[in-house]
Amino acid sequence: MDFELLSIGLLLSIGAVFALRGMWSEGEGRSRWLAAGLWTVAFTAIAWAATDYGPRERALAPLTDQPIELNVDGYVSSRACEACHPREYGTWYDSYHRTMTQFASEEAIAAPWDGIEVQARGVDYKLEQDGDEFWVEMDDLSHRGGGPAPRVKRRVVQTTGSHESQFYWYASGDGRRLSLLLIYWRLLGEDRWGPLDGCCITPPDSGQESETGRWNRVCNRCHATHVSPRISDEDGDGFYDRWDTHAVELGIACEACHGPGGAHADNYRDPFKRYSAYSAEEGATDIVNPGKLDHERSSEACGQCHGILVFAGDEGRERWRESGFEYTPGESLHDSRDLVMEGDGQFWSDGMIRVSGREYNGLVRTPCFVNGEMSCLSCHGMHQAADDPRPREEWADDQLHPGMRGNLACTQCHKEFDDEAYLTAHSHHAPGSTGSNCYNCHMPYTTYGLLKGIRSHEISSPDVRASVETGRPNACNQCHLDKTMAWAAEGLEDWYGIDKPSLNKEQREVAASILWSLKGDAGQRALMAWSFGWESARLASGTEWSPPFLAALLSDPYHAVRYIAERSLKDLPAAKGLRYDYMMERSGRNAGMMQVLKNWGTKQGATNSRAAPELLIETDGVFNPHAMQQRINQLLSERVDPPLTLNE
Amino acid sequence: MSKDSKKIKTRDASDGALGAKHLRVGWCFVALYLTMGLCLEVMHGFKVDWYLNVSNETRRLMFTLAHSHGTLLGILHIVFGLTLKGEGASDASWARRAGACLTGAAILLPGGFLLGGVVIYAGDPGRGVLLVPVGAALLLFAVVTTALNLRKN
Repeated sequence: MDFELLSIGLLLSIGAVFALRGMWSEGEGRSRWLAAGLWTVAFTAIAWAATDYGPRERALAPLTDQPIELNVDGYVSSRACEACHPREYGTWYDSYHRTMTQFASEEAIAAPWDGIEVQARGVDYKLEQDGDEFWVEMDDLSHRGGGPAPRVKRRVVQTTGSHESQFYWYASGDGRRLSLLLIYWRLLGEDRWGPLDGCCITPPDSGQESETGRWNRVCNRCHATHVSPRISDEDGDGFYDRWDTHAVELGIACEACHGPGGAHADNYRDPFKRYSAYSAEEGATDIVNPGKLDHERSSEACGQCHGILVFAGDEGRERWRESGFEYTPGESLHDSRDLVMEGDGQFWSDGMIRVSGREYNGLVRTPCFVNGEMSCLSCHGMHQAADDPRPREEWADDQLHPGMRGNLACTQCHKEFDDEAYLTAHSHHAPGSTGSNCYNCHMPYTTYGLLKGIRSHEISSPDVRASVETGRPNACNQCHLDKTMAWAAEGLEDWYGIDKPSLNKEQREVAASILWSLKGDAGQRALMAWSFGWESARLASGTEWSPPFLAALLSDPYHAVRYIAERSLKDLPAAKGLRYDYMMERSGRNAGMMQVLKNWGTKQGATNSRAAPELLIETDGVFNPHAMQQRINQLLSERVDPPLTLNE
Repeated sequence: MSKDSKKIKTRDASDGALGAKHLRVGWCFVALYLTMGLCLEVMHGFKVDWYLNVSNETRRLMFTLAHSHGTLLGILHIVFGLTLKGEGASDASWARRAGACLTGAAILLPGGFLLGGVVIYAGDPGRGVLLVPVGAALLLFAVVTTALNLRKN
């Protein structure tokens, strides 16, 4: 009998002695026996319940087939931080950093699960919940023989993401190695399942992989706190056979930015030290506060994950495989890893980042960082300020300081632009308009990720020449979707004296957004599909002309492009009654496209016969849909579309 | 002295004894659970992980409940003792039954919370918490018995 049961029995006996004795001595006949009977029932019920108490078994069952949390190397996890820093803990707790990786649980899983059946890419997935366990029945992805793959059941043990999309990992059965479920759940109110290769820009014929071991080898580097991958080839056959990954904490927790907190927590257990520190208003010296580092070091704390980095040498990689990264915030990130600044699939050809989650790469090329003191924390705050009036959910979306979606982000240094007249003279746009927002010209949405356009995080100036040379949309044409590059180049020359680049006939005569939508690579098409739905662009360009081009993207070979086009189109009149799903067979997608064109053409013919050659609208007094379709088909046939993977 | 008067004298003596007993027990419980409160404050002061770590939130809740219920039941004992003295009801058998149940409740209710916090299972308290409903039933019985019989008197 263990200590707990012994204590319960002892306490119950003492209670019985006092309560029962009094009742027995004062009771009569039947009431005495009633009291004794009730007591016996209570005793028996407690004894039964105590030996059958469920949580005990679950809590003590060892987790052997998934990564676990374990404090090592002076890390103590966020659980130790809350006692002294409840406000900071609370803001972090409500952030998407915390929930980037979670153990699968009722609270963590955002998708509807029990009894749900999903079909994606010809495979049926049957989702089931058994108590607090989440299961999926699906085809055996490891099946290599002939005939249909047998059905197997796998236990989902971990999730990734909780803001835009959520992905699910199941135990592979090989140590703590995880495999990725080939369907994912889309959040943000869109609430739908999709195939894994539909979430990103990947060539449509590249096939789907369950990425077995990927979390242990790659994802954990940024999606958990101080991970020890503990991967090795024990028998020397060239393949890893030991997968014993553990992390101090799943998700991005306090110590990811502040470094190991064990010494600090131990030190400040002493209340006299704490109160002495409060009264002296001095900061702790035994832990890193990124907010008090210089702009380079503090940005490196973010850049360790929000940058593209490679190991400085093979030795570092080998050490990482066993015990994780050696870098701790406050040190130089570049001592152990090199920042990558170019490469296909992640950068535009001039070195500007084009995939999301790598904002540090954009920051370090920014003059305000190189020549000034701008850091990630100039705009973003990892803890919502106590006097920030915004709801926590609003803050958690991008974790920006108040006002940082507007010009305050820039005017905290460039104070001259606080003056409305000065700002108007510079921007040539009306005060308060979207064109008067510094960001829209100097940090446009030229990064792709998470099925949307994302700001570049590199402060630059609108440049048509760069668009011609790299294919990257410039700020003018990303907002003025109905204008040509020639129009943008002339405006920039008139207003800012920027030399016009040499443009070909199409670039002079056809709206840039149309060229990028029809002739661009998958990344450009995805950005344009998103821009057609961007509210600022809609205000500047109108929406009445865009459906034919969004319709063309409804039959795009890339799933993600179709998904975004469908989303941008759905609230336009031309999409009324549209029967379309981005994962339909080709014939269904084409039918959807034709339906949009028909809706739009009918309205266009009836209401607007004005010619607009830059929008491919030709007229002879009457709108000619066939001429337009011919031009669209011609541009589509000129598309150079190399297989593109954008590694977000 | 007749047998009757002897009997009455004995009852008179026990009259004060039951009330005094509950006063004594009540003050003991108040002293015990206020001391426990002091211990909890010390654990706050020294940020003892075993008590304050967020993964031990259940323990913190259980101990807080033990402290508050123990103190409250101690006060209830004192009130019960004063009631018996004021009403001269110590010789009544209901008073002895209610008193016994009150004592049982004072042991099991806060004791159950205390034990439920010593051993915890993640978000669930230890099995000691199973004593709480028994203690609560005893407390209810004691309170209802007292209320009904005082009204009769």
